[in-house]
Amino acid sequence: MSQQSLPQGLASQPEAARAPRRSSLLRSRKWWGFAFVLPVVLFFGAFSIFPIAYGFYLSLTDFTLLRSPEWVGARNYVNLWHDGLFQQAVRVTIGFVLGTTVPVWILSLLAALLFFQRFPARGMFKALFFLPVLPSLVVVSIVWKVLLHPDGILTSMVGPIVGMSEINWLNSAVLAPWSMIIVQNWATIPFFMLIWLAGLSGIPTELREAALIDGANRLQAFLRVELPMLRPTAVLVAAVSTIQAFQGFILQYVMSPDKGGPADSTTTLALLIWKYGFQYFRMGEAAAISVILFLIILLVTFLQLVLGRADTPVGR
Amino acid sequence: MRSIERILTLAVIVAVLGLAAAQTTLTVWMHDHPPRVPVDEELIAEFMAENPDIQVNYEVIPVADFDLRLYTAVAAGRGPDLFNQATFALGQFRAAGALAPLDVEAAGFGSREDFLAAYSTGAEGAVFDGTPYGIPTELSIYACYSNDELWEAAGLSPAEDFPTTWEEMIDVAETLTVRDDDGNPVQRGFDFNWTSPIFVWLQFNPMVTQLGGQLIDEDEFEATIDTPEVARVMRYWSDWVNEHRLGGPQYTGSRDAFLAGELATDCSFGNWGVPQMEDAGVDYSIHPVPRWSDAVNDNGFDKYGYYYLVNAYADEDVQEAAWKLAGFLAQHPDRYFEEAGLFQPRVEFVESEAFQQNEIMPVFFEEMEKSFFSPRIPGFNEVADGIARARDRVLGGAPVEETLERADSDVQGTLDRARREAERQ
Repeated sequence: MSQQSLPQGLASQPEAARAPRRSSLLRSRKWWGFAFVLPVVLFFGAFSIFPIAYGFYLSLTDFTLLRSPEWVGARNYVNLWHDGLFQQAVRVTIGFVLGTTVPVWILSLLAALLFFQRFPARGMFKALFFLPVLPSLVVVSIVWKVLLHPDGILTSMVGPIVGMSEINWLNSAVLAPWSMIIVQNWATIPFFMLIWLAGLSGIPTELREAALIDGANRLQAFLRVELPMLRPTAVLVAAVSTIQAFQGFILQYVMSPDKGGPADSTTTLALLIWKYGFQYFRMGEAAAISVILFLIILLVTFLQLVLGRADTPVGR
Repeated sequence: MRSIERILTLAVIVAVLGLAAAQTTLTVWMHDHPPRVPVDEELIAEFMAENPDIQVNYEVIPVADFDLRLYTAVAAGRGPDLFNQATFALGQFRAAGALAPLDVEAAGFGSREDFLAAYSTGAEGAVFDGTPYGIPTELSIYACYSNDELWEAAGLSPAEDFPTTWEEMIDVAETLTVRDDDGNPVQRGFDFNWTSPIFVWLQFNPMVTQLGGQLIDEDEFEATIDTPEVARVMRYWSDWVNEHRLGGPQYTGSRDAFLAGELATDCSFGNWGVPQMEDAGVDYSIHPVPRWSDAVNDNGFDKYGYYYLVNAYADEDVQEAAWKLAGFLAQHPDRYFEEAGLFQPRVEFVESEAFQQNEIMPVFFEEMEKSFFSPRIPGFNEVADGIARARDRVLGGAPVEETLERADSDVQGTLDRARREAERQ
């Protein structure tokens, strides 16, 4: 800091006399900085860090809500290892994640590529395609529950093709998980399409044109030029859709019979946490499942980020 | 003069402070049942006027929030002192040591025997090991409502043709069922209520009891699911859906369907269903639930009740005041019945002319006297889910015996935990 920039009066003082006051000013500014960020730190600590830490603590206790938690160490985790419901929920969740990630990535990218082209009334079609994202998932679930009634509109469309007059979309242990996957895809593909579109818009048109001039066809230009440049977008889409899928709860809670039925064929880990905690009063085990789900999501997201960070020839 | 003023002021302050210190404050939580709230408020005001040393804070909690708020409040040590809860949850609360035994003297009953004698039926729903823990606020049971218009359209008379056995019910329901060209029912004759696992307790379990079996042994915490009686009822429910195609979980829930005129008979309404029938314009009559032709027990569907309960974590003087209030409120079964439609089975009310001449209550009351409460165990919901899971598997084509064997083992795991929870007290 030059003498000219110091406040009036301070510049005229001898160096030895100024030093302590300057450091006191800096200290004071530092504390003011802390003071300004303190509310956010406290908020984050109280509503993010503390619940996570408390949840982890509860996972090491026997807690039925009506009694104080009793320390049991890792017993809840050991019990879950042998718990049939937990194993079933893991299988259901894996199926739901596979069904609502890979198809979502591909179909949303294809939709984005379609809407990236110029054609008449593109804006209107894009808005219509985006509509499923606007209502809450609860509303979506209720509407689809009506559509998936055994005698509903979907049966009248599909029934004649498969030769059935009644289809138990939600009351068959075979069909119900597929119904959840279809509805989740329907509700989320438009959202990820928008993210892909943003990624496509960020690619300089010169690169695409240069590839075409150099003799590449449209498919080659997409695969060799655009797709590698979409890697950051792909990582985002993959991470967000995977996290959403692992947290699958609302569709299963609202649409399925007996909340996760029939025969627990739609009970995801997130729904099992709710059941264990608030229906069965096994809050310690519910917390243990939460911790496991948290770690799974953390690991999968970390892997996706690591894979997405790998160098590519285009990136250099 | 000024010194006299000072003395008087001081005396008033001391009196006010003394009164405040001597006052016991009670927090009361009740479900939001709109017709009951003004009765509660009026009676509580009367109680406070008679007991100036007791201050009552009356809170009405929305039904959907009630259980979660109650559990989390009790867990946090801030639960209400007096609250209303159903038989379904009593096992969990009792096992957790959260219920204070009934203070019969404070509640104005004199003795335990006098308390039990004051109720025709239903008081036993909150008795554990001979000790009462609650005073009934409402006793309920399902009976069968017939849509008389639909019955007559099918050429049946509800008064003469209503089935008395489950075997007959299949034929009657078929007569009442209207099917489309593919044979799918567009109007069902009768159907069970499949909308929640709770109906496994309220409808499935009593059908097993009629045959002399039981799903679980409440006292021994033992699953008794893998038995011929349970298998027979399970086959009946499965055949109802898959063989006779008379209904099932895929259709609109029985209550909604009945009120919409799509179901000719429903057996999942209590006496509280009458206003809904009238609002929906359903011309109805009420009948006892069928029994098996070879029934061992003459019970209808399971009864259930709600009770005034006192928080065991409240101070002793607060508990005493809470029981005093509960006892006072329980002295007005006529008002709760007439103004709120809630049946409190006090002997003097049941014997009153108003009750005896009621058009519908004798059917319900007779069923209550013959029927049982569902098991009051910790893990009530979990066991219901376990049996509903077995039911769904059987409906999906799984063999009955194998499924029941597996369900027995699963539910026994839940009951073992429930036993440990109960023994922790």
